[in-house]
Amino acid sequence: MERDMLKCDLERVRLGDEAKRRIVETVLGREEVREAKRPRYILRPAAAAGLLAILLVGVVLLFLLPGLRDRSERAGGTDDFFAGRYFALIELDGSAYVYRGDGTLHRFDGTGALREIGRLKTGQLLSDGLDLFFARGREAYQIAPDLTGKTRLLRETDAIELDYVTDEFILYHFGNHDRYTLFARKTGAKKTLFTETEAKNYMFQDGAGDVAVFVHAAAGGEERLVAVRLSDGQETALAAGSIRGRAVISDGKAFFTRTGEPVDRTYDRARELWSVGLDGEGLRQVDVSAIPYDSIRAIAATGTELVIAAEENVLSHQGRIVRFDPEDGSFTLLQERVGLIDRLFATEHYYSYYDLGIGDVAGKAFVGPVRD
Amino acid sequence: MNKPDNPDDALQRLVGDYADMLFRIALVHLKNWHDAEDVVQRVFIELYETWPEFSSDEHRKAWLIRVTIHRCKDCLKSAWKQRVVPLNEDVLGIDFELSDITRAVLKLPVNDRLVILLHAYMGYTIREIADITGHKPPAVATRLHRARKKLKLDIG
Repeated sequence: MERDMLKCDLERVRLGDEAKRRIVETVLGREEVREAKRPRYILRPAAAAGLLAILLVGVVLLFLLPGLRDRSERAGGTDDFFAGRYFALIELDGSAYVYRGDGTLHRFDGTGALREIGRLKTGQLLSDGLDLFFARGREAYQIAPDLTGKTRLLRETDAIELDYVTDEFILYHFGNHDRYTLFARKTGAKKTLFTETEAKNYMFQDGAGDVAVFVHAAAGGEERLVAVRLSDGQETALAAGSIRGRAVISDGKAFFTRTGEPVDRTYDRARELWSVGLDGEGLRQVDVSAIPYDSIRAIAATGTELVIAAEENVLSHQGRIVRFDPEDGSFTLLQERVGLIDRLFATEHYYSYYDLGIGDVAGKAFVGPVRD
Repeated sequence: MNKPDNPDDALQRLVGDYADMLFRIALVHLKNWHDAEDVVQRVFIELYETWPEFSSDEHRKAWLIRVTIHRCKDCLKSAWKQRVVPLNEDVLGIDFELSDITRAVLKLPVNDRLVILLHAYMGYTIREIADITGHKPPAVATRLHRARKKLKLDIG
């Protein structure tokens, strides 16, 4: 009977016709079909005139009412949410670079709209602070932020996933055994980080300087957080026990979330924030009681502070995003009434998130300055 | 079964036949509607680009399932994906109430729920699951036994 109920639930899960059509179109590379079907005009003349009038009134109001302008500036961020999948936020020279799931790279300078720079065909994008790095299939590339000067850096026997890039090296993994490999950018030398049998038990979390933090999951299901010095592979145990979500490095410490005492058996979400020095010293639970929240969905690091996506009511899927100072436990509200956060990124000056849609309703993303 | 004469038509037909099934596998694996949709798309891209020789429809189906599982694993391993706390059973992106058993299955570790899905929902035998997942049959049997035990404990 239980098997029937499981079957019944799963049978109700279906990709819509629209999604299937999208898949077929994408596979066949028939974007042009959709383009051709679009009407040649974007707005009818009457609608365009109406929109122009509304825009004029809006501009006049903005200058006549300083209070309104202040509020608008405080809200910051992109003019509007943008739809579609969203993969990465990178900061270069004080500007945010946003890589969207449709393959377009955009630049954002703190206010106004995102400006499209061009297209890249990859699922991920990393940076060393100067250039962009991405993997496509079995190869990894470096490219300038204006998408010129693409250089192939390395090639492997299986598809590559980049983890962490500095000016010295690139950490990546590939193959079914997740062979974590360190690529020295100056010499081109490659070095495996873990033994082949152990590699797949590690999962990269974050990197800072010469240290990368991994979650190690043993065959029995036991987890521990470890820091690995990349120059010599020396491993330091940071914390034992189940780690929820992603651990991030901020100000020389690893921050991670734990489930804590479950309120009920249905919602075993992360409720606790912990920190530990990268040398394994000073493991402690961080007091986040100042933030009104029910659980923590995601954390990201700006370098000295954390950006936390906190859910205040899981049932109504209401949440907020705050900037949190682990030193004194204070927080600043960045966004209210956000939905289910699927991606949360932070850089020194920007933060962004991707808000999951439900079912066939598309998600939406936002990027804005992390401080006023 | 060689590459079809008209791959475009064949792809359309296969998406119609298998996309929902692959999507369910990916959704149970990833607990995220959008990632699951991405995975299904990637699987069909791989099929279209390589178009391996299949000895039968069943062989093709098993290939599609196997590739879906691998791409789900890739997705879970992805540094980008790991930036958030794993989604729980209430946030799959589906808009109806799940039964207790489905909720309990979704709370299992990822490999356990995959074995349950392949066995209880799709009807594969332990040997077939071993072929699909690349694990040894005794390992699959142990995992299945452990998953059932956990389910019993959870739903009482």
